[in-house]
Amino acid sequence: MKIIPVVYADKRRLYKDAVNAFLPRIVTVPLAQESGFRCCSLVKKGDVVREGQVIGAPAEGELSESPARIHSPVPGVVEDIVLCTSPDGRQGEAVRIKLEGSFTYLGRKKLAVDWTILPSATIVQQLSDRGVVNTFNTPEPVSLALEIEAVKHKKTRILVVRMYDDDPTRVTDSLLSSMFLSEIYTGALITARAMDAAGIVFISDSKFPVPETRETEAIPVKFVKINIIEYPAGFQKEMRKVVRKTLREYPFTEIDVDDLYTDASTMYEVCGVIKDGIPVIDRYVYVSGECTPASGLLKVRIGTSVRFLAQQCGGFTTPPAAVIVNGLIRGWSAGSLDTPVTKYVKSVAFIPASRLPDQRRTTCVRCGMCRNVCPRKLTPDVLYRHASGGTPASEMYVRSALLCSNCGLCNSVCPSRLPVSQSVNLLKQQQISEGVK
Amino acid sequence: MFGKTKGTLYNKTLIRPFSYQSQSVGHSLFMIAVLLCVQLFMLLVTESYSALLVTGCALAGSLCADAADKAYHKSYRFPDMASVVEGIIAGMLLPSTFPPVAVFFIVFCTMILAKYMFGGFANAWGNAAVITVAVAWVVGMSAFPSLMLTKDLLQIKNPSYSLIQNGVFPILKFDPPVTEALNNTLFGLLKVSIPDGYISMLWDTHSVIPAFRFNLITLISSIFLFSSGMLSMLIPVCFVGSYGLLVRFAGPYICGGVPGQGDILLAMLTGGTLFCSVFVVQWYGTTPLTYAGKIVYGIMCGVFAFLIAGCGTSSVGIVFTILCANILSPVIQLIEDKQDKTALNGSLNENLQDEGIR
Repeated sequence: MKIIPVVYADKRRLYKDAVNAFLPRIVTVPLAQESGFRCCSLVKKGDVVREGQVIGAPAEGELSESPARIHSPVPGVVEDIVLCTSPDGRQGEAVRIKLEGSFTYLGRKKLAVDWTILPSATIVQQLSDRGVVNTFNTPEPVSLALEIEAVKHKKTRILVVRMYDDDPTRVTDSLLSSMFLSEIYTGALITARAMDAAGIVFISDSKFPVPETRETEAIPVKFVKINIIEYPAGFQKEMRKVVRKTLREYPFTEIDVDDLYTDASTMYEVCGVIKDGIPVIDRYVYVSGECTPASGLLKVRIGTSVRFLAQQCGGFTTPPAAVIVNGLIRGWSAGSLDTPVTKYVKSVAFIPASRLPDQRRTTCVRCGMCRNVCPRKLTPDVLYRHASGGTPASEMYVRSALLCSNCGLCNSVCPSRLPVSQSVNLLKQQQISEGVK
Repeated sequence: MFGKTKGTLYNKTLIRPFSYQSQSVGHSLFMIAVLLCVQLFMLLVTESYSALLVTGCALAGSLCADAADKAYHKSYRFPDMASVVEGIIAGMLLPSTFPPVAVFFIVFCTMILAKYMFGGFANAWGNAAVITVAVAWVVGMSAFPSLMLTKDLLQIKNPSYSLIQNGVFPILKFDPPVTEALNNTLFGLLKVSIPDGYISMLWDTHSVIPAFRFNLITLISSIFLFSSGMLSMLIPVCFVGSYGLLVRFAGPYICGGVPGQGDILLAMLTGGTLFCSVFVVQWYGTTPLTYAGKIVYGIMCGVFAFLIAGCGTSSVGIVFTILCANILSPVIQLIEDKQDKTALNGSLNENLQDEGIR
């Protein structure tokens, strides 16, 4: 565990409220928006698309029935199917749409569906059809409908909602929780109905003002507090630990790894998708960094380039040397300013050259900092040497890689700047592919 | 510049994290080299040209060893900052009376041997600079000044005061007014006073070994290195603390004096204790890995320093102290590994089920 303060952008430069981003003239929508899954394009060059029209779906005969569909974020004409690099570095096909024509949802009255009468199977189908992705684990986003189906084998199902960010250098979920608590609460109730949950747990920062629990709900709803600066407070194991410690009554005593873990962003989307009937065509992105004169929480259309976000924040006052997506500890560095916003993008930070970290590698200096900081009590240095072809580790050490939560603390304290976390994760993936799990 | 043209990519690969909780080794070594250069500048200011020449020869020897090693491995890069720092430290721990040519060859040969026998930077169990000085002591023992502390001196309350009175540590011109000012202000508030000479000892001991001289600069350097997180405080604090306690209580007791009257200032300001506790004692790769191991290592350093270097003024005691600690370190690491294995086994049994792994 390491104390990492939650960093908000300079308050003077921060927008007071979440604001709608400008509409981009051109959007590029990648067809891969989930971890390990890629949709097929349903449109071709020259097609006219409506706002919210399905443009990407699983190919016929795909084993998985409930991946999140991909929708056109704007009305317009398909310019081309292009090769595009997603924020996570994956390359794949994307649909490039030029904004044209009238909007289906923008400026129109919302539906206000009574979701309480919808059967759970219908909700799950709608979550899949309208493209909701669970962004609890941002490096591995998965269709929420798929995850709901996956937890149905469990007898007592708990829905766990994280109201803050797993990466303390990103504040999207914290801001959303303070701005849209009612929508997030409703989204959680809808999800709980979809999965037939026995209880809902909201986990929030110890400073977060907890609303009064409505006793009228059909299932127990609890709010649990955690100190979010104690990284990695936003990970499954740490959350389970605090729930077990705080809530000692049924059904919360039954919480385990197979329950559904989700976040404020996803619950906000669930509310919009089911209650308002609008598919996932936009999302809230926290834009920050020292290269733009302003920063804030922007509601951005999927497929908008990060360059366009910078323009809304007043353009670049300092040339960016890197664009970091989804936080400085767990995020990725986007390959270019034309990288599009996808369903799993929560934050974009424009970093000037002066703020780039020194990543010059040296040999392991055996300082032991990675061991001392690891919340799972692993020995990342031993695993790194094993994975990088150095001293082989015993089977027990190699097996311990399965416990790694990929929090990246070992990386962040390593003075030799070695890719320790990546190496441990590689060992973990190798074992999983060999069928250990 | 990023973003000038459409789709411009980075000119280098960046991997997560993009924010670190520690300083990089490269940056820390660079800052250590800069801080050591301040001490070299002081040698220049005090016209200690022979000390500068010896340090220069040691640096040249270290860089040549590094270049030879790189040529052997066909890796033609700018010399590592580690070699620069090791060269300067070795030079500063050698007496200025040592023949410069001998210094070059001793440093060159020892560094080359250390690289091949014990491994390169951070792979060696021992500090190459310290091993070099130990070899130089074996080769040219007469060049190292002898111990100034006698048993009689250790029986009295302030041996350092006697040494100042005897002119071993010269009193500088600015010492009396600074001492008076401190006694009237800071120390006056605490109702204590210090005699003339201690300020001089803190500023410049005039030792023939440059590393033993500028204690105040070493102290300021340590504040910078510790506060910026480039070096950890744990080992130096344990080392200095345990050594200080032993000097204070055990030293006089062994020599027939009154326990509790040992001269800590003399032990810290002479014999290179401060310099080595900051720049040498936790050299990369030579320390244990866990907090407990580091505390034991630091305390053992203090014990070795007391047993080998005594209560101060030893010219080579601190070097052998570090060597002994370096030898002890792998033993501590073995124990750590055993404990790690036990803890890991328990953690595996406890957590694999919780994580849903069978």
